Amino acid sequence: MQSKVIYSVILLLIAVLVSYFNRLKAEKDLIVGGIRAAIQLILIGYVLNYIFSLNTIGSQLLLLFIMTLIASHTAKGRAKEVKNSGLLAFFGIMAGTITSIGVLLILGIIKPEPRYLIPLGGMVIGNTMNASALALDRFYHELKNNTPKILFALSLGMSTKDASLFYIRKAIRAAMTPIINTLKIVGLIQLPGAMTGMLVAGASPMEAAMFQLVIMYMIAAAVGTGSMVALLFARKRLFYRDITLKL
Amino acid sequence: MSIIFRFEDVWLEKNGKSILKNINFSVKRGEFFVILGENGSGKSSLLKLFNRLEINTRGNIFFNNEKLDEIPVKSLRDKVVMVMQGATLFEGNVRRILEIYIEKLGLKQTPEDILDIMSLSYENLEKNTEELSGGEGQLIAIGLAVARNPDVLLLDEVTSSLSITRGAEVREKMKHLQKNGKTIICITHNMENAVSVGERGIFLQNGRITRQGKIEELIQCFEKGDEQCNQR
Repeated sequence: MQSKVIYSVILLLIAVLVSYFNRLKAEKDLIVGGIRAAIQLILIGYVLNYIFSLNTIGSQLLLLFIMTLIASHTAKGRAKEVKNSGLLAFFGIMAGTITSIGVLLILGIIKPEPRYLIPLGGMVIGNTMNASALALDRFYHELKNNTPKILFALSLGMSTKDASLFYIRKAIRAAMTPIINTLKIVGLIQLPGAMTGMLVAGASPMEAAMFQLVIMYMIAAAVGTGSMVALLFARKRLFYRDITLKL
Repeated sequence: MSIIFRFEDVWLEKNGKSILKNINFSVKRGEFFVILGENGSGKSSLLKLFNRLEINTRGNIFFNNEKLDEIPVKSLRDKVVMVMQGATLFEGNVRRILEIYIEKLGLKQTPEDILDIMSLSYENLEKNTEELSGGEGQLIAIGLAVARNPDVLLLDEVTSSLSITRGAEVREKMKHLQKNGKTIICITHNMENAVSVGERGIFLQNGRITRQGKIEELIQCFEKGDEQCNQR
């Protein structure tokens, strides 16, 4: 397998050549990115090898927790204007992951084994990270752009919950749009990653399709729950008690 | 007339900058009180302090002799309501939006009743709030505030986007409310408006009150310029 991977470097070189001949000046980025990807994937391969060999719930949860911390830090960079966005995203990612993976475990759809928990957990964490960052950024800008409307509603006697309801809804909808769009077209244009991986590994197409469906539903639940939880905490931070906006 | 609002050495600071400094004045129950001043003098921030849309960093504000920060905000906003200038209604179909305000605020009126308050056509109910003219949106906002039946109405330049006749109608409405015991506190740039409706007021400069008293005196101060105004 290693020699095949080495041959595949030719593909990266093709991309570099495209950049060079079109004067895109992206050669360095492509080479650095390619090397980084190799190091990161090899490292995670070793880590997973170790976790798989341990086969304990504790080690799996620890790895998922570390992934959540890294994802929260990444989300912080994407929703820069929201104070403590990393912490807010952390709550969202935790909620999304616990809900979706929890339901799959309770229903017996997956087993508490590394081959399920780690890849599915990674997918959930990655998707919820994107959704939380998007939701937080959208919510902040909605509040900022609609400050007079919110202050008027508060002045009339509305609670912060009611005065911000429109904007919470808009932010959750924005966070869920990518998964909704994916649900509509999945399988029509390209096969999703997990399904492709299973087919390459030798699973039957129906088995791969069914499992992919479970993954899509899992992501939908995680994204919805995660962005909602992140926003509920964000509301507490962006309003001063139940009194006024604190942007 | 008894005092309804009292400010004692009130300061408002934001991002290390003093927006309002050493504010001391009182408003009597049932009066038409006017806040005058140049752009950026802190008028809107001061008005927001009355129903806690802004929170003072120092000093005390009393409402009916009770400290403002000790009154539950819900009960304060049952009695003190503010209308700002500009588009302040949520986006959406006017009827649906008014139904939401009515439901969330526990009002007994219908959307038609809200429009009746400021004599607006029912055709507006079928519009989207973004399709309303600045004046129509402003009048609906005033209608909502009046529908709350507050003791004190805070108005921030609400007639600035209205036609002359509509502006006069709003002033008449406010005078009518005042006659029925309501206290009106308003910000205006328009001196004629201030004289036609106001009784007493304050003049703000750079976040400080430089003059307070009868409206005619404040107008004179405004016309004479800054230096004379500083002679309190």
